Amino acid sequence: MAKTESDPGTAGADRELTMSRAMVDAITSEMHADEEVFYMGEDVQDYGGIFDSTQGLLKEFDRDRVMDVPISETAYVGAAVGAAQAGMRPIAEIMFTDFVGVCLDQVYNQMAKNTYMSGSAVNVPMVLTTAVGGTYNDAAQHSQTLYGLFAHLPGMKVVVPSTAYDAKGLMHAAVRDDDPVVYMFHKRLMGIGWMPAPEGPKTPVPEDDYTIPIGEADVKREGSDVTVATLGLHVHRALEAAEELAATSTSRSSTSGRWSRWTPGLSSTPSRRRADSSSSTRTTSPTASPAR
Amino acid sequence: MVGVNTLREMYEQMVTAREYEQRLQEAYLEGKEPAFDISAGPIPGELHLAAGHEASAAGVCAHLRDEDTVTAPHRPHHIAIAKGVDLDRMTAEIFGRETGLCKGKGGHMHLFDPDVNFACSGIIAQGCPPAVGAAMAADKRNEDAVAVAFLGEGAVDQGAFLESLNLAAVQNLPVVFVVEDNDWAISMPQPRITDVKTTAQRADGFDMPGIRVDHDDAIAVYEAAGDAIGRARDGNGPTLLDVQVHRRMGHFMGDPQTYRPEDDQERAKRHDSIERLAEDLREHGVDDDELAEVRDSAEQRVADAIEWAREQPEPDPAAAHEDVFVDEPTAASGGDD
Ligand SMILES: Cc1ncc(C[n+]2csc(CCOP(=O)(O)OP(=O)(O)O)c2C)c(N)n1
Ligand SMILES: [Mg+2]
Repeated sequence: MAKTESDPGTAGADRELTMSRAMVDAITSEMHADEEVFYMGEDVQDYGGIFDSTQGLLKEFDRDRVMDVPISETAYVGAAVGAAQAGMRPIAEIMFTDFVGVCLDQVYNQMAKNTYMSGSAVNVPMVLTTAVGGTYNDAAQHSQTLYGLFAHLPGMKVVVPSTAYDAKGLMHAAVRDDDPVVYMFHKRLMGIGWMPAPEGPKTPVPEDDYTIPIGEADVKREGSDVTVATLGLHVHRALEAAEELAATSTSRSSTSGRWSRWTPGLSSTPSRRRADSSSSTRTTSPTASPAR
Repeated sequence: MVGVNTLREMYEQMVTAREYEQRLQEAYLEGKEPAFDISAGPIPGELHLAAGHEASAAGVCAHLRDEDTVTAPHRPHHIAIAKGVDLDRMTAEIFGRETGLCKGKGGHMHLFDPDVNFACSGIIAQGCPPAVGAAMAADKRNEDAVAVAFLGEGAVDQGAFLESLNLAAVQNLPVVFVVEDNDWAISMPQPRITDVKTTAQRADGFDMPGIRVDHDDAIAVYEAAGDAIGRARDGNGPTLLDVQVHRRMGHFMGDPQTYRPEDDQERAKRHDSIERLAEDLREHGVDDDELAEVRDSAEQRVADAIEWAREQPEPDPAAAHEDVFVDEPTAASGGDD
């Protein structure tokens, strides 16, 4: 297995990946390393995931490890819960996050609560992957992000990558985590041919495995005047806005902010800052810290 | 036996739907070629076309009245047309315009036209429970209206479908479930996702009639639907109708279909229910001129609807905040200012 570091940064990485390639890269590596990791979802075999979340996996693994399943989210998301409680490390995909409605019980009453309710007699080391977000006029049943819905479920860890670097490190961390993790990828950031991504999510990505600690926000830009805590697509929008403001600001003040890869997790401690920052800037701790 | 006028009407619905989607497809591709960008052009977003599904909608809806309810899935145009949804306002909705059926807030997968009791859901099988509810309302009010839920064969593994069958059966409600079996659920062929041979068999588990129409034929659908809808209207409970259709195109526009065997699309195209019905009409003495007339007038109707839709205003961005509630909360009860 490739060596694992915690959050090594992009220095020295000589390949750039889209977010979807980085996500699949981590899944592939985890599946090679551990036979107990498998992927279930609709159209994840031959199609490779509607939003490229499993593109190429079928070349590496058999159909019993990359599984197309019936359009029965309650059954297969719940089956992931059961397989996880049996000690496996399943990854189950809900194609659009808006579809969680049809299987919400398995998500919030089983996946999120079984650890607590069993007094840790069981745990649920699974990952629920799901595409989020709009920007392409797909209306209210196919466009939400629902970050808050998941983040407010006690027992659930939620990660939201905003770059390819995040996407890989957070996937490694999610699969290895002994708690259930919801991995929410924004369609507009994936680098899908038919949905052009903004500049930004495509980043250098180290070849070796690395994890990014869940529950810590990332500082995307240092500054002293404004703090913007955001996630997913809006990290890039906020960074763009900061560039614009910095360019137009007077010499008297520099206008910039701190930007986050937001990984609202279950840390009972406030999230640590990744970068040194002056005392005038506020930390960007997750607002959702469900009790544990 | 089905009369020639009914046949002609079904033919008209079917050619209108086919023509409509061809024109829509052209408009959809504006701005999306050569590079396909789903958010570009006058119709951004997903577009699921129903070429090859027309017979089921026409054959079923020929028995329906305005007061009967229809729920449609993500592939709704042919059903909407057969149910008599206002074509102009539906088109404006698909173009996202202010005068569209839903003021541009629903788009192609989420069409609502209460004038003819038509509604959609883009979430698989989730039109089934509301159809049961419409049937329940008719039953409670002692009206003889019925409800029809359309869905795809991929949707029959969803809890909402199976629970709806059971609820409708145990309450003996006037509802018909119409499954359009096009052999594919996006990239997943039916044998990969179920061991049940035909969807009609599923009805056995609920002790309701399950009828399979195993070729794409408007007359066969019309006859089977007549029995099912008649049974519902007469108070004799629900039916599951399983209709073979054909997916002549990709799942949605932009679908590369790399998962689909090459000859499968050809096979789907060989079974053209519109051609078959034209043949039937000729046998009933309708000549080619008359058929051409029907097609011409359908073309004109479609062209007019698209032209009208394109001229309609874009919604005011401020309208994005409207329609969350019928009664907008006041500041005192929790507004945003
Ligand atoms: C609950 C839910 N899961 C998944 C989807 C994504 N999805 C949209 S259409 C589709 C396939 C549907 O197949 P089928 O019911 O056979 O209808 P067809 O598209 O073939 O007409 C899927 C999986 C969805 N809309 N809702
Ligand atoms: Mg289908």
